[in-house]
Amino acid sequence: MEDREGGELPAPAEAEKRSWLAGEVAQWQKEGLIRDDQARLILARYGLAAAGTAASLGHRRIAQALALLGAILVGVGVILVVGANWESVPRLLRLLLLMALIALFYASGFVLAHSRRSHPAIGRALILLGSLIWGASIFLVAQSYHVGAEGGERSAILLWFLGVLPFVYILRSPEHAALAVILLWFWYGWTLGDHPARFGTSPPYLLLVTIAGAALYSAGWLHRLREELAPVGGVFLYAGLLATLGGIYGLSFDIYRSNSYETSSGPDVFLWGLAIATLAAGFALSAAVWMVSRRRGGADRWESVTVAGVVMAGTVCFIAAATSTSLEGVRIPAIIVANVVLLALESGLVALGWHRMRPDLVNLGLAAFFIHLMTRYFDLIGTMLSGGFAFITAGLVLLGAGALLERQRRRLLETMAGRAVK
Amino acid sequence: MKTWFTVIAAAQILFLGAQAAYYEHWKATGQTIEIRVAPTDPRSLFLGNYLLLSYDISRPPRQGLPPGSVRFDRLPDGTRIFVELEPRKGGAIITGLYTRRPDPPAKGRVYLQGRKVFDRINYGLERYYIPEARSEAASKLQAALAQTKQAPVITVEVAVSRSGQGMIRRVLVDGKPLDF
Repeated sequence: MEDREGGELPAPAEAEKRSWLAGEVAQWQKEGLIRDDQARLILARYGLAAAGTAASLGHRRIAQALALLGAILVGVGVILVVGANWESVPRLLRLLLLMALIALFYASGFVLAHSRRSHPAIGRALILLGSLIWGASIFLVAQSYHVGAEGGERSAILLWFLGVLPFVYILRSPEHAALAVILLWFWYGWTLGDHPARFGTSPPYLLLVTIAGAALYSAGWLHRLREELAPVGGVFLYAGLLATLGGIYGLSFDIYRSNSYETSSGPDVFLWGLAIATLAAGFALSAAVWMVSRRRGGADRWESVTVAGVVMAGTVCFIAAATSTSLEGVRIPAIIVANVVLLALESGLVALGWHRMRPDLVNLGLAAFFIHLMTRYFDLIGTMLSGGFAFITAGLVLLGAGALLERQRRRLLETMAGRAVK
Repeated sequence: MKTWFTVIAAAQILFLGAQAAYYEHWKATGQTIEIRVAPTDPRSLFLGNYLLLSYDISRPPRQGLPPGSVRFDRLPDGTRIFVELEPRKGGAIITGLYTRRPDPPAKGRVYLQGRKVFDRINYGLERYYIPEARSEAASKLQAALAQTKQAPVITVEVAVSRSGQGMIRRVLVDGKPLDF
């Protein structure tokens, strides 16, 4: 009996052996003996995962990226062409045209990616294209009836998200997960930012983004526990991580000084409802992560404690900030705490990447640290220098710090690679 | 997987049909009311690919409303408002403001839903989309409007659904429908 990559296993008890191997590989990954890509290659060798050699894996990724790029370009093109000539086509015909296009892309994509599996990358890109055109169609139909102002566009984005979400799970598609996350963040940010009833100051908004990010990170973490949902979980995890870092980064600025929204009459039921839903999601998901990680121990436990800590501290700060009209009194401590927390998260991310042999986490942590460092430099020192001198000094600092950080990053990754070989 | 994929894909496609059918029904059966576009600055009407519209009824009167009406300036931002309108030649006028939809309005009057945004009411009727292919015609009309000695009367014919939501049926310039 030979698998798809040529690895051989004796026929008797084959299923049992494969199951044993899958369990062992998962354990090796957990213990940091092998990296994710190595685990995929081992599993692929015995037909337990869809992956090839390192070279074919690279080619496949390029093909996937090209197909996705193509899908996005075609999608944008179709939307622009249809949008531009919208009124010159009879209303019913243009609706039928859009419906037919979506059906065509979905059907052909599904056949290529899932039925015949002859061109999975192109097939998945076509399905994504169908979803992009579907979303754009909601806007085009509404636009042709002049409906869409006063929150209508936001509702359309939410509808688009709700329509796309089932595909994340049915197809286990990371592309759809990315689309869903983008739509959800877009809707969330827009709704928070555009709602006429407002909190008295801006920190509550950034705290909500931070907590929502932690909730999404937790959701991603939980998804990754199931092998078939791991790619989707990865997307949620990164999106959550970026939002959390972004939220705390925003809080590290001097935004506590004045009451920005003096004309507002304060938050209403809707805004409080959205905030409470965010906090509830943060608590529920981070608690679930904490409970699971207690059984697993090690770095997982520290990770879950950090996520739960972000949610709990964020909630306390949110309640305090949302119910205050001025934060002038806590301005300096708040800026210091936000910077310290951000620094701790950046260091934690590098440490987690190092422990799990994940260069992507190390890179993300270092990139966040670099941006943070440069921002504080411009805030504190850059403003003291005048004119061109400030630019020259800033440029030199940027080059020096960048080179230093890059050298350290490479060293770290080389050491990680050395650890993996041993 | 195939079954669920087909179900969701079909639901998405049918949704578009339902969306269009809903709007069509609303447009055809909605109660008609004409509201006047506020003559603030006609030159700025044609922004991008849509007309940015503001109405006389966007700013409610401070006085003269019946006793049951709410005080607009005391409402928090974002509050949903039902505006009672009385049709008049050249544009409807506000005859009442309510935060909950009251009993059916007096004969001939219409409730239009809006939301308080600072000192004005947004009705969701603030945009009239212009197809890209007609943008040149729109520019010509804009230039013609700017040259007229007397400011034209611009009104909007609105189809109001049972729930009080409005949809622009057409835009009228001095009583003539805008051909976009």
